[in-house]
Amino acid sequence: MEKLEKQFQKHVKWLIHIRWGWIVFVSLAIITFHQIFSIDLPILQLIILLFVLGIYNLTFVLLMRKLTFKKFEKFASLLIRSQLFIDFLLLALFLHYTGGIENPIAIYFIFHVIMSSFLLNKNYAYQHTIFGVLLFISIALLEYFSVIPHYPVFDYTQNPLFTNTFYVICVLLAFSSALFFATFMGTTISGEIKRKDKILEKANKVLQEQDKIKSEYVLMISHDLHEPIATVQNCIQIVLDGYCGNCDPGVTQTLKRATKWTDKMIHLIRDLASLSNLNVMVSINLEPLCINKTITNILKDFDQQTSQKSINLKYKKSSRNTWIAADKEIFSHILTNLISNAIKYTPENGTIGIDLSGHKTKVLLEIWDTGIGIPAKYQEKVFQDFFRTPDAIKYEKDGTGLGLSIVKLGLSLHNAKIKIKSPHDKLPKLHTGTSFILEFPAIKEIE
Amino acid sequence: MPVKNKILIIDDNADLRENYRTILESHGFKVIEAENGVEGLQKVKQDTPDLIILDVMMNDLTEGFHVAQTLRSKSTDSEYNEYKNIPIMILSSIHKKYDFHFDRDVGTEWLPVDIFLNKPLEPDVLIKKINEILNPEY
Repeated sequence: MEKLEKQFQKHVKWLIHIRWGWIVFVSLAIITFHQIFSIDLPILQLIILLFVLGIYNLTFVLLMRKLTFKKFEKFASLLIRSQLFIDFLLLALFLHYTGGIENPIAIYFIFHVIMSSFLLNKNYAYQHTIFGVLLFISIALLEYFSVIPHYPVFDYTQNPLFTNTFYVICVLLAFSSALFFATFMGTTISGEIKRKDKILEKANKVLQEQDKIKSEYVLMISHDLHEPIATVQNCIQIVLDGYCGNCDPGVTQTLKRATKWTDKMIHLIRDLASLSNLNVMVSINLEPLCINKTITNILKDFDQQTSQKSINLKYKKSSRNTWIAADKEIFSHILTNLISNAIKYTPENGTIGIDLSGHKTKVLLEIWDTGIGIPAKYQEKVFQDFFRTPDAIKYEKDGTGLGLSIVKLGLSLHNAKIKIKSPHDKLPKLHTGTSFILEFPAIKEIE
Repeated sequence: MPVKNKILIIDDNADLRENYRTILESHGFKVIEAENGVEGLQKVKQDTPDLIILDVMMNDLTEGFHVAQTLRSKSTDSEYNEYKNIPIMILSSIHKKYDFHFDRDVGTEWLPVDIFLNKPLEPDVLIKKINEILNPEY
């Protein structure tokens, strides 16, 4: 459905652009031929035609803005076909007023059928070509038999070409065959492209399926790995907390070293599980969420960490609507990961800011810090699994490199976007700092 | 030390059950153990615990989840009606609630428990959380 909508909008926009281009081209041609070469043209009729074309094109521009795809989904194909037919009709009228069969502009009929071969299915494309051929033949014959007037542009001789039987027959034959040949070529090539597109789509689907299977496998493995390591951690903790009697200081130190590693492993397994789980999810239960309140609650969990590093955590709320469609758990996970990172990579006495701003169609959430920053060349890479910048590794040895992958995946399930600015504009030049800007589609406020 | 409360631990990991027992008993709690959901439900009827510590992924992936659902069933003729107010603490290896994607269809009441915690839980935190549930004024 989404693919169809995008394709439809792309095609209509394409036709609109071509029409604007055509209006400019024809206007320039009229001025050139009329003013410079002093060729006598039916200016009034041509201007009326250009005007009709302009109004007709403008209607489509407005229609595309006002109407949602859903409203004309059923007749989307009809809409494209009728546009192509009207375009053909207008082109034929231009041809008629600028010399008819004598005007080489007739070549543009070929471009038109090529265009329809790509936009329409094979049957409709041939129907369209037949319509074009009939239009051209009608103009030529009606002018030939003087049913409609001929507007001479190139030929003022005693024996004009449009009444030359042999010429007319030759042009009609050449023109019709060229149009059918162009349609044949166009539909064949476009059919081949569509066939390859389908193969690619199928291959992509298989890859996605396999990726899902891999994620499910990693998810199962990570659950299986978590239980034993959590048990080991729990056993050590019981000893360290004195439930099994007092320990020798050497034993305590060794056990503390052991927990450092079990901790590290537990974090890695948890991140792997979350990442695989988000990968397995095709869609999530999005519910209305006022993030103004959610953020306040999440920030409470960071009180201890920020005070340990004397970090100033500032939260700038928004007075406007900040309702989004979200899965509260995943949203909290995303924000927790970003704030944890900010705390991890910001030196003592630094500042971390959460700026929330509600807009008409979007809700922006910026998480910025006065930390070590992310160099421009790594700003894309930080969202890759297991990637950590050299500065990050140097500054903080521990880290799984999965935190931002989880953020990106979680955001994609919310149709949200993320941008990195480092250094960002909230700081004096001496500092580096990183700013993550999250953009969520806004939903209507709920009382 | 006086026996404060009865706590039922339902977990298939015998070592963890032993660890919890060590921690809880030293804080004066009485501990009952069950190694799976079926046994857990029997012990609920038999001993009427004051709190249940429940693992999620036991022999069957969703066993812990079904124990919680059975106890909190809304049906009036449920044989566990008199036990539905026993607080349930989930202590699971599953990190995030959304990891329970296999039971999402149940809706908002998909996890009818009082608190959801991750393993491994530090002994102090475990005791603190239990006290918070059993004595809200604590």
